[in-house]
Amino acid sequence: MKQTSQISIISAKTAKYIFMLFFSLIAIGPIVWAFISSFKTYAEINSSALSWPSSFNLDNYKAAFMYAPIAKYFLNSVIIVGTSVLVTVTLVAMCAYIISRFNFKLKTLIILLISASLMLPAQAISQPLFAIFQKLGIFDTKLGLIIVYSAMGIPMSFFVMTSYYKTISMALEESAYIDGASFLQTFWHIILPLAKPGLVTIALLQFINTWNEFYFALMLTSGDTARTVPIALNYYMGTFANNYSALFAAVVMTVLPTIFVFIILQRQVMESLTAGAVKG
Amino acid sequence: MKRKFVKRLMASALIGSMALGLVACSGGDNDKETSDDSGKIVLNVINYHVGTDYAADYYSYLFEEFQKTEAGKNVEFNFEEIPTTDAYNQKIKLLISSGDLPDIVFNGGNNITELAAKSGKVADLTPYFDEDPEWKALFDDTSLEFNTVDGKIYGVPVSKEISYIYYNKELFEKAGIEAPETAFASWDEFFEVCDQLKAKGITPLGMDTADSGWLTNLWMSALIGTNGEAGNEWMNTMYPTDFNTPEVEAAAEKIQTMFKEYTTADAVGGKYDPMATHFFNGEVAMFPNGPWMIPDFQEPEKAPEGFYDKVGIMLMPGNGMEMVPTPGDMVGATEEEKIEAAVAFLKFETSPENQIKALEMTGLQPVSNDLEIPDTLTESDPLMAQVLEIQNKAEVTYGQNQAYWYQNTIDTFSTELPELAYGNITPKEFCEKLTESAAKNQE
Repeated sequence: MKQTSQISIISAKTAKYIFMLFFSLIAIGPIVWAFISSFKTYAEINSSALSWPSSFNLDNYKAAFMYAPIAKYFLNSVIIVGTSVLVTVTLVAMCAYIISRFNFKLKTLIILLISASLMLPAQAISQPLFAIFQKLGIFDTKLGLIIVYSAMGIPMSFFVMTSYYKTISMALEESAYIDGASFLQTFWHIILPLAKPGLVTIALLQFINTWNEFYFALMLTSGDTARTVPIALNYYMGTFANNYSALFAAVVMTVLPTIFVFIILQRQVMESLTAGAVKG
Repeated sequence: MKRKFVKRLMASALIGSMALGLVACSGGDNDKETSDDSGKIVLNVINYHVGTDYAADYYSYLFEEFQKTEAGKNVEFNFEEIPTTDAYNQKIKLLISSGDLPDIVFNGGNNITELAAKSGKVADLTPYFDEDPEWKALFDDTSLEFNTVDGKIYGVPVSKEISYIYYNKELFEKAGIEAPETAFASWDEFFEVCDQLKAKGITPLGMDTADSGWLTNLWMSALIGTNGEAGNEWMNTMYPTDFNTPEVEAAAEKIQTMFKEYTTADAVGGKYDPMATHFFNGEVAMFPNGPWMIPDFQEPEKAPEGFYDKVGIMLMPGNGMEMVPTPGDMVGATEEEKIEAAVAFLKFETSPENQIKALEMTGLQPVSNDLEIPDTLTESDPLMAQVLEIQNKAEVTYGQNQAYWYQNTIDTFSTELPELAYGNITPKEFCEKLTESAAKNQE
């Protein structure tokens, strides 16, 4: 009897690990494939997608730097994306708290306006933005892209955060007020620490979306001062002459920060995603 | 208390650095300059010939050399680089509608001449052509008509697009086939050769379906364009709407057979690059394409050493060749002196010397018909010289779908090709889908 139950435990564990291994491979597979391909020659890449490179050297990485100003664009991406994440998180943290906790006039209208901005396709607003940015003197500047990216990120982050705040018990704030804490103190010392997983999630979503954004980075810039990594990747895909080897090397270099950020923040993200799933 | 102070200090520093960052981020210099401090005319140019683009080195040479000429010594260029023609076309369309065009407007892949001309944002170049008959004589009527909208010339064509068949001499020899001097006399003869190659275990043709199905498009255009007068007229028609003609349906039937019998297994769903690699590696015997592919035959990254010598050139069966005029470069400048400078650059770009230079460096075919080809080209690049020679032997010329069809029909062609290849739809149904797609542009 005991032996039977041990066998079933072992088989359940094995099945669990096979299942996890399968999904890990699906997730990691493309990254590993891009990494291996970054060492292959043009002919090797096009001959067989799954072959092993004939040698491991850094020629493709050198070529990646030769064809495109990738270092400059990478730095631009870090500044623009970093600032837009900071701006989005700061604004959404405050705005979503008020919306989720208080009732006031025009609240529904504000929510509707924020929702409506989710429906706007980028192509529809690119020309007005282009004209406005030129008038304001922020065309082809990092500030211009920071404003656009922050504005684009706010609606989705807002809905994530309003839902998250609703999972935090009102009793905690009421206790703080009874103990004499002011509104700001309550928000800063009680609510924000509890909302950390939610804030990390929106930061991560905003980071991923803006790090990969191509359309506005192209339309609202004209030089190297504000262009970001996705534009740099296009340098390897010229007419009749793609350089996939250098492209894969560049992809590996540019995708690494996203992976690192996720690895660093993954615990908080998991907490946020599972928060409220089980109510005691 | 101390902790609180440190926190406040950090918060202040953070806010301060953010504010400073934002200030530093703004204030980019985006004013359109007319002339710089030295009094030179500044021409704004959006250049998509950058990065790995096949003509990046040539355009870099062209801009540099122009500034050494009498007309260009007073000109400075202010470049915006946009890698890939797709990205360029996205941006240039926005700039056409916003009226903020660069001074020299390159025509990148998609034909934007009509869009730009109708927006009234590009200069009418007819007076400049009329003023300089020698320059005008460099272009034939077809090329200029292609760049004319409502009777006015807006674009300066810089090249012609042609395509034909490359074949692997070694594989032909292995199959005991003697390649024709110019072309197979008929498609029947061509398919007989395909059968002979197949019997020797050699895949006869390079084909694809993804990214607009470039290679298959060239085969299909040739099958239609060489099919009598009606087929040729159809394949020279701009924006055709009826694809259910006997010639187009017959071509679709042949394409279906070619996918089933004569090409590589990865052609369905395949892109141009892996298919080209099959040809470089001697895995397919015949490959349709234009002269811009010739530099790749000597590119060690792409083709094995000595491959260049294994390649032969022939026209499509029935002495057919795809030949389309290209949409030309335009002038978006509005001030007189900038227009003059931009036109001077376009004259320099299309000078006989630079047409030859473009041919040597990129494989771009000269737009002028009777240029004197230097003897050195025959020695340095015999294949390119052969291209120039063989194109005069073409008895039938026709267009191809990426130049003449509606964009949505080109997309339908690419997405429906796998269905045709797998036999999920008949050639007639394939043509019906193209007709339906083209009809959407008439609504």
